[in-house]
Amino acid sequence: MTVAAAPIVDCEGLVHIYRTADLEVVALQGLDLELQPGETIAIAGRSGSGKTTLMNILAGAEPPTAGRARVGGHDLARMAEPERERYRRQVVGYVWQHSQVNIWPELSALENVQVPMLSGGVPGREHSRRGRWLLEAMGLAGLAGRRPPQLSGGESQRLALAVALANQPALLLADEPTAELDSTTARGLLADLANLLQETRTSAIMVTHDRQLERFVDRVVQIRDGRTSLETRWRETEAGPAADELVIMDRAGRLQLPRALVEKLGLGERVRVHVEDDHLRIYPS
Amino acid sequence: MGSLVVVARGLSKRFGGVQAVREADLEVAEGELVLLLGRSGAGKSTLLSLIGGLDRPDAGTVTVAGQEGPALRGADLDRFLQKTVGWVFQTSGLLPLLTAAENVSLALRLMGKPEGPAMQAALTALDSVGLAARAQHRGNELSGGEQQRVAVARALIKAPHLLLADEPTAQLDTETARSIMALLREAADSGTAILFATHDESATEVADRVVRMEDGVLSASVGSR
Repeated sequence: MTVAAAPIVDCEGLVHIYRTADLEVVALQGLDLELQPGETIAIAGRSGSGKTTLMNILAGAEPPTAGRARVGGHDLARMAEPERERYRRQVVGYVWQHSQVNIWPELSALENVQVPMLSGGVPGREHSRRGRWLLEAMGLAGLAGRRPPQLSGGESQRLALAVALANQPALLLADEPTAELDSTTARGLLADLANLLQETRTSAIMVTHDRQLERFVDRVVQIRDGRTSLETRWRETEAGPAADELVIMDRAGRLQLPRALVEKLGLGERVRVHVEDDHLRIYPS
Repeated sequence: MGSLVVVARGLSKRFGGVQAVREADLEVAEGELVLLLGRSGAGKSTLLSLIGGLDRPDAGTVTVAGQEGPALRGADLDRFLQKTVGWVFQTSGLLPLLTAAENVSLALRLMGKPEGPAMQAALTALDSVGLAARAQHRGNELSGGEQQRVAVARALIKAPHLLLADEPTAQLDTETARSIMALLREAADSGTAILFATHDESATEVADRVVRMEDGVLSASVGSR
């Protein structure tokens, strides 16, 4: 019997409700998501779809209202504060959209990478060696002594990613990591990041609107109305790269059909489902 | 006014065809808040970088508390930037998943101070910028104004001779910007020399002296308060 590796991210039936003064917002409505160790995904979806809420929960910033959320064996719904703190320091790395926000302008690139290690799990004598290794892996080998104001936008973002990976997190969370970069700069950065993640078997979830980022991750998951709805995987064919687009079925058997299809075929609140030999047909009723 | 902390003479810096800073002379004394006022692109950031050791001038000299920042290299420069000058920029540079207190304490940890005392000092520093109640909140839970307060606390906890503030209020609303300006004023009143670069004319209210900068050239200082 073969046993599949335990997933690094395991969310099932995740629900999150925000309460504002006079309003309840259901940001996640039973979201399922699983990532294997070393797997990287992009998350796409309109604003308000629940992407940011999901990232906040995975970052350990807030516990979910209901459902299961586990990362690297930590139960995000039940962690007490000391565990939560250790989780945020050592298990996840987080990059904000604006790179300048994560990095400390008057410190050198090498010092910046070492800052998180001061509160993380990397032994003191390793700080400098690991810092240099990370800078090199992110294409900043010659720039260890430079300060952020002396770095270009692309170099700053590379540094911000190195900082987020300083404590060898099992999971990297990045919010629009290429939003401020031109496409050539973004491609170079994503290629180096993908190599580093693969080499260290680090999983990553990146929220993005950048279509070219999709080619550097294992799959793209669309979120709609607080649930995962579509999944795209790119593969190489003789005619060039091609996208396989799949509709996600959750563990209860629910499908979220793409809105365009629903409208095109005039599918209403009830549909007819016919079972064929090895597939289903869905008709407007 | 106390003794001179910054003495810059004939500082010049050119980038390609642009003369970013032209023969700048500037002094800042202990406890003095000097406002460097000018539009974006006037050369303010470059001048701050030259004074703070982040960049080297083509010509001229500058000392901060007797040390010549631009001449320093390697570990000496690191120490200069860790201890002698404090910086506050347009964005805070906080680590988003660490608390405000952890972020501030890291400034001392970098200088070799042990975790416990560094954390104690960080809580005191946050209290002095009016953020005692937010000390245990993480970087990404803080508003823009609160993040800048944390950045000021992190810069001041090192008790630097000079605080360089480069457009620290540019991304804040008017009211929040004023509160950060008031905070810089307090820091000057307790003895720190401050060079505050901004395009915001309203900052003249908190300045001891205003120096205007246009196309890389400083104009004569004007007393303000």
